[in-house]
Parts: sequence; C-alpha cells; structure tokens
Amino acid sequence: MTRAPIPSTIWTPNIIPRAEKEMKKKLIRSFCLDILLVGIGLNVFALFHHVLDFSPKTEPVELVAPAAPEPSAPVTGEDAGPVPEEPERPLTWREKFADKFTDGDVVQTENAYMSENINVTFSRIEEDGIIYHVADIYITDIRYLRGGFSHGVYSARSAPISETASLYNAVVALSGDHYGGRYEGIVVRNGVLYRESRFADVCVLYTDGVMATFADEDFDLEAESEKGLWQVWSFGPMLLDNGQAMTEFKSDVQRPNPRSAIGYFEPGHYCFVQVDGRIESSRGMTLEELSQLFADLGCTAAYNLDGGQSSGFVWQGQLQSYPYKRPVYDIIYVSETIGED
Amino acid sequence: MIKRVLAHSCIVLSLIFMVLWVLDRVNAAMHFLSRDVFKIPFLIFLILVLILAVILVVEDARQSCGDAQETKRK
Repeated sequence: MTRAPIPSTIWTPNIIPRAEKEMKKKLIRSFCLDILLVGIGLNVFALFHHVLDFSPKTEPVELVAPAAPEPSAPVTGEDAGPVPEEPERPLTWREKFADKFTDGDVVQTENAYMSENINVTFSRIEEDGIIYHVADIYITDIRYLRGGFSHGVYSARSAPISETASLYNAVVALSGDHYGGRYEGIVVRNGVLYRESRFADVCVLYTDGVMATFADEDFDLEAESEKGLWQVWSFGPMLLDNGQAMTEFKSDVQRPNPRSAIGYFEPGHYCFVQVDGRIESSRGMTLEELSQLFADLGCTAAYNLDGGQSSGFVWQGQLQSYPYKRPVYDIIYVSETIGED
Repeated sequence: MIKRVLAHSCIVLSLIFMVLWVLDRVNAAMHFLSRDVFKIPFLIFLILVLILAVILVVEDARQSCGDAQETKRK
C-alpha cells in the first residue's frame, strides 16, 4: 500500500507563511548587498581621498636662496694690500657652536651624531607615564635642516616615514605637516613655494635660521617672503608665546595624544620632539604639556606638527616612535646631503 | 524597478556619508567632508533623493486621486 505524499506545509515546523519567509529572505539579501556596497563605496572614497592625487596643481615658485654660510677667507700675501679695518661681523654658526662640530670626521654613537656641519643628540625620555624622543640639533647652515616629500616629489602620495628618511639620507627625521591630506595650507620646502592657500597657524623658518610662529590671520606671505623663506609649515597650533608656555590653543585635539613638534632655540640650534601615545606605556601629551616641555627645554618658539597615528620619528635609520606606522606625506629632517639649493 | 534602485542607492550613500561624518568628527584635519571627492557623491545623493521623493509624492497623489474616485463611484 502506498501512502499519498503529505503536503510539505504540514511538516514545516515554522508556521510563517511561505511568502512572508521569502520576503524576509529577500530583505536580508538586499540588506547584505547594501552593506557590501557601502564597503565598496568607502573603499572607492578612500582611493580617491588618500591615494589618487587630484589636488589643484600650482607651479612651484623658487624663493630666495639661503645666503652662503661661511664668510670668505681673508686674502693674504702680496695681493692683500693695506689691511682695511674689518667691520665687526656676526659669528657664523660654525664659530658660535664650534665645540659642536668636528674638523671633518663623522662621529656616530648610539645617541649622537657629529660631523663638520651637523650635531644631533638623541634622547629617549620616560617620565610620568609618557615616552618621548628629543633630537637636539646644531647645524652650520640652514640648508642642513630640510623638508622632504614622500617619494621625493610634491604630491598627495604618502609613504612610511622610515622609507622617506632613508630616501633623503636623514640623520634624524620627524613627520611633517600632513600637507598632502588637504588642499589648504601654505607649503614652502627648501626655499620653494608649492602652495599658498591658508589653513591654520603657520610656522616659518627663514633663510637666516630664525624660526617664528604666526596665528593664521597675522601671517602675510608676501611680506614674510621678502625676509627669505626656507620652510613654511601649516598645521599647528603654535606652542609658545614669546618663549612662554601657553594654555589655550587653536586645536580640536587637546587631549593626550601622540605628538610631533619642532622647537627653536636660536639660529642654528633647533630640536625635534616626538611623543608616543594611546598605549599603556605612554598616554601621549596634551598641548599644554607639550608647550610646557618646550618652555622647559628653553626654546623660544615651538610648533605642533601632525600627530596621532602620523606621528613618527626616525633616528639614524631606525624608527623610534611607537606604535603607529601610518604613511606620511612629508618629513622634516637633518642630513649631510643638501642637494643643489 | 527604478524606485527600488533609487531607494537602495540612497541607503548605501547615506550610510557612507554617516561613516564619513563620524570619521570627520574623529579627525577633522583629514577633511573627509570638505574635499571634492566628498562633494560630488553628495551632490549625486541629493539628486537621487530628490528623484525618489518626487516619484513617491507623484505616486501618493495618484493613489489619493484613485481612492477619491473610487469612493465617489461607491
């Protein structure tokens, strides 16, 4: 005896009608498809935002080249003639910081680099639950303190800081001002003007070695250009007010954070500071703490650069900052290689 | 069909913009919302929303009109 087939609906434990079930399935499918499309959309956005360069192109403008660093040697012998009374001239940086430079040898240790033109002392400091790195820099000529673009060109392409540092043979390198991540912000690197739109507080390193910081509204590019611009960074905020620590800053990121900043003592003497952060061993610094640090170091001007995951520091080819390795658009570095400026 | 495509496009784009809005709050310096790469899809989104809204309003008006006529007939 054969049994008649039992309608499947009787055996289905689920009492939801088939049509409703189908509709649910369809909805879930289309929801998943939407989420997938959101993911694809975000990736496409990231491609255009981070990778492909659609920034407005401007022709780089060569600004005034830095003056020759050394005074010419005195003429001696028969051609000398009567010796005129020499006007008192300011000391060159080599003379001023004579004990900092060698006669031609390069002395390299774990924490120091000394040559006839560069002296850098590196320190890794741990205090109050914060780890930070300081590079104390002396140079004989402003051309040894340089800005470098990732991949060697002005573009919106980023690269790991150690890669860029090695590209420029940097003794020490610090992450820069993130110029490629936006369309605004004055960009002058090594005496060449690449972009002149405004963005935030400005830091200027003049060809005579003086570094100054300006509030965005106080900066006049044309007027300052006449003084000879070697570097202009646009990120900020400025960290010292006439050498005094500040308590108020124009920044959205006031909380403890990884930081990168440059400090200025006097022409020829600068420092890089990089602070690790967002980790158990180092919480990072607030802007107030960073400002106080530069005041304690004795700087007369200091300027905050791109921090957070972009904060990076390379010493003698080794990445010192931790834990982030986000590619950066530019670096500030010290190198024996000064190019053809 | 076109309504469905429009609706899903609006869902996808609005979710993308919500993510970008959050990212922009976290890191304003990245300018997620102020670059052209954001502005162009945003304009597309606005157009899609507008078209979808017009279609729905027209459909709703037709439906209301049909309902009214049916009530009259009864």
